[in-house]
Amino acid sequence: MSITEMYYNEQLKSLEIIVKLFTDDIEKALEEKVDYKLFLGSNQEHELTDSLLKSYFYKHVEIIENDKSLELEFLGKEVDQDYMWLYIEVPNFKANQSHKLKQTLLMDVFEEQKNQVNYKYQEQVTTLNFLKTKTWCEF
Amino acid sequence: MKQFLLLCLSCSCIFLYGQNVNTNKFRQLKQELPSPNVYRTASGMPGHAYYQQQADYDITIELDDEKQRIYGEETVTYYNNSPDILPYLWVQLDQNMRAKDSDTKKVNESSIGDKISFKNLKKLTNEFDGGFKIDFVKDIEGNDLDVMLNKTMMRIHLDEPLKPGEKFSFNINWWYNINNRMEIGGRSGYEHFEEEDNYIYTIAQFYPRMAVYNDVEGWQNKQFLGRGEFTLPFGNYKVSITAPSDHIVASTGVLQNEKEVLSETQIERLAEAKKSDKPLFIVTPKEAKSAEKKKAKTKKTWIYHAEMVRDFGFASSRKFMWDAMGVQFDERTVMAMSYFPKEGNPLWEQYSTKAVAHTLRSYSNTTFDYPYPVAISVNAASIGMEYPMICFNYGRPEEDGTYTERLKYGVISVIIHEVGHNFFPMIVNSDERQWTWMDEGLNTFCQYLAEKEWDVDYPSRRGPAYKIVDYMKGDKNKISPIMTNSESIFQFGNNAYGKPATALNILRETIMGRELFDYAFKMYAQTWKFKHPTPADFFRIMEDASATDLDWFWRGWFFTTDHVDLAIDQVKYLHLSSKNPDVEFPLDKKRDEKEEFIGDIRNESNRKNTVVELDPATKDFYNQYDPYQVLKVDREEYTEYIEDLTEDEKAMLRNNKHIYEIQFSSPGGLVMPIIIEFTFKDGSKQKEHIPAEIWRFNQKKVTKVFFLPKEVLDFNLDPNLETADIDRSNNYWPPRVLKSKFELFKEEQKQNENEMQRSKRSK
Repeated sequence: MSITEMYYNEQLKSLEIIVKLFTDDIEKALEEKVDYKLFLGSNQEHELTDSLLKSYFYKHVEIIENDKSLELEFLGKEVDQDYMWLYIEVPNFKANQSHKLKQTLLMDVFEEQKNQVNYKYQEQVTTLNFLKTKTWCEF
Repeated sequence: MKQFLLLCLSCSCIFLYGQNVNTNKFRQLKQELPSPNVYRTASGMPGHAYYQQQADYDITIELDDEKQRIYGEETVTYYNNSPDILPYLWVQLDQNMRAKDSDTKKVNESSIGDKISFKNLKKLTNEFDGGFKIDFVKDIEGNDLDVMLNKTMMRIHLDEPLKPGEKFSFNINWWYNINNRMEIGGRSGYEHFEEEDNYIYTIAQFYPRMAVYNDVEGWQNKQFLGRGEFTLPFGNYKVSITAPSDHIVASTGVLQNEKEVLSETQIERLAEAKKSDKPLFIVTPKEAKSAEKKKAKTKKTWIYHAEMVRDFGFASSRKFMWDAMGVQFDERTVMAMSYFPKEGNPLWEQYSTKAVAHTLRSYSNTTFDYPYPVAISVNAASIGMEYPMICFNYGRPEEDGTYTERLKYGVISVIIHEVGHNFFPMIVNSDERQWTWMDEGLNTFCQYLAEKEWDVDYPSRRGPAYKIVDYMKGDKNKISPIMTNSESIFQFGNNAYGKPATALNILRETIMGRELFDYAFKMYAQTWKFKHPTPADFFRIMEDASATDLDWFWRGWFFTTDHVDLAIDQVKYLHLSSKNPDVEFPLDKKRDEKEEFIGDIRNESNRKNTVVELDPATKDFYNQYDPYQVLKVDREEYTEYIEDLTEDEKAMLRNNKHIYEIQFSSPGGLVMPIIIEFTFKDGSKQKEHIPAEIWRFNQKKVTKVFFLPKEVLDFNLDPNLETADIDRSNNYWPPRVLKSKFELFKEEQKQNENEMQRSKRSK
């Protein structure tokens, strides 16, 4: 299971997204696309890791605002023994509009992958649950 | 929703609802725990009529390396030590979980996305012909027994019911196809190395095994669906394993026929390793490499005996190298050993056996001396699985022999964990089919202790309170209480491993303290060693041996999905008056100063036109009076006051204590001790620990007064992250605005370099 936290930043009018994944899981997902090892988070980390990660992310995460796909700005990642965190910012996010989110990270590799997204807006937390059978949620 | 329910109920029920029911979090666990009885006492110990059944096995196995099959014959002798008459026996057929008609496939939800990989397709459609093929079940005279197969359970009807104190023996012949672990998964199975066409077999659940009958469950014959593991009685095993003669067989128990299966050199090396305090090879890397290259046509039989074990496992391959060392317990030497292919090296040669030895020492210190003669770690790709005296663990470095830090600690951790399972549940034999946490949770807790004894800086995944926070603050619909049956748990790892291990750590570090906890935990382990404990026995013994009422803790942490969130709501400062007018009046004046009212500021310009200014005759005493001026009479009164004070009272005045009244609240559901740190104006600090019982009357808000020697600059609740508080933003006074993880990351990015880039640049 992966956990994503999304906060609406009133000052910057942007949506801040942090995705938390098991390092082993995301490594496996990325390595299925290439024929070399990535060594995530180690000092032998493959130089193409970030670009692979980015394209993998864009393939699996999408936000639609009023029928238009939003620009997601991939800020970077952090890795420790267990987890990898991805940081994404969505500038000019209109929190009062209706949105649809796709979150299918790791579902291509793990049969029973579940992704949970907690969206915090004005102190209210809404939880969205994603499964292979439910890849889009409204928020 | 509650309102609606209430309306639907009849009026008489309303009394049961809400206020009239005791909902205090400190109420005792009388309803949740079974009543103590003659089998299990209220102090968590076995009662005077405690009993447990026994099953002895005599097994002959042939491993077919051509067809990947196991052929087996066994004689089971079952001892009825219960006071009950048993009309039938239940036998577990775990391999049937892989049979074509298995319920495991039916009850697991499945779905296909837009695309599916071949590997996943194979798993979904797999046509593997698994499951036990039973040739016969006969009594000792050779008569067929009346049996009924229900999926993974087999009932043997007894013509004459088995009376208390009697035993019954029967024979079963069977065979089964071994599963390819790498394709369809499994705790046991084989791994095929295509290039050289060799196999590593890690074999368990390979024989029909007796189910447990006891005072708690009757027969524990809950079907095996794949997740809730095993529940087995203790017994003595004699097992002979026939395998290709170039295979090395690692197994539960002690090898009985060394001379028939090992070379003279190997026997000598083994004797030397027993005296060695570091691992020595019995089969060297070079010998293993040459064995890989050809295949023997002949066979060898390895005979192993094991006493007082609840199960049996073995591994077999011509790829194995084998190393061992001795671990001393008083007069007894336990052999710590590892079996691994070249694919596990150099990591395994360096760490495996040392990790086994460390685990035995560390866990023995926490619980009881490891009672078995051997402990083995076998290298098996991508799993970690435990059996008595033997376990199968992952860990394969790169072909060039390098490995990441993550893999290194992953390997040491999995070995500590799986070898650690010898203590829970192999010896402290809890019911895994019912409660995963009783072995996984307790074992993960001991694993954390062992890791920190390996290296203080060990990157432990589970144990510290702050590591469970993300899980506990999650959506409650996706969390189950720890006290949930193994098959129905959401988020298995966090629920059954992480949370109970953390809870025990919190008990040890914060609630009971190390000394009280360690004694009680050890008492539990020693009392239930070679017996079958239940959750209630554990809960009760921890209280009984420590004089600590923990019902509130078990209730909150084990029976609910509540989380911890403590907060400082308000701080009031009181200064004890010295009554000395020369000291206090100026202070009073300062304290009474208020912001100026806007009307007064504007009216000031009109002062000279007011009546009292224009006509001084309208002024009297009160127009001149300064209430803060110290008068002679004030000083006289003070002197009189001081003279009347006792010495004690004078000392109190001199110390001039600072008094703070703090209001705490608990917006999360779990009550916890209040640990508060005061930072004084001069930079020094002081910590106060208030037991959780402060919440016993009001579980939402409490107020507490603190007498402190100096003025406080700031207050910090739970400064050392010991309570698993999910929101630290309300833990400070004056309140602090905490930067979110996102903001911190963005800031770091602005510096244009993260730690990793920095270290790369310095190369």
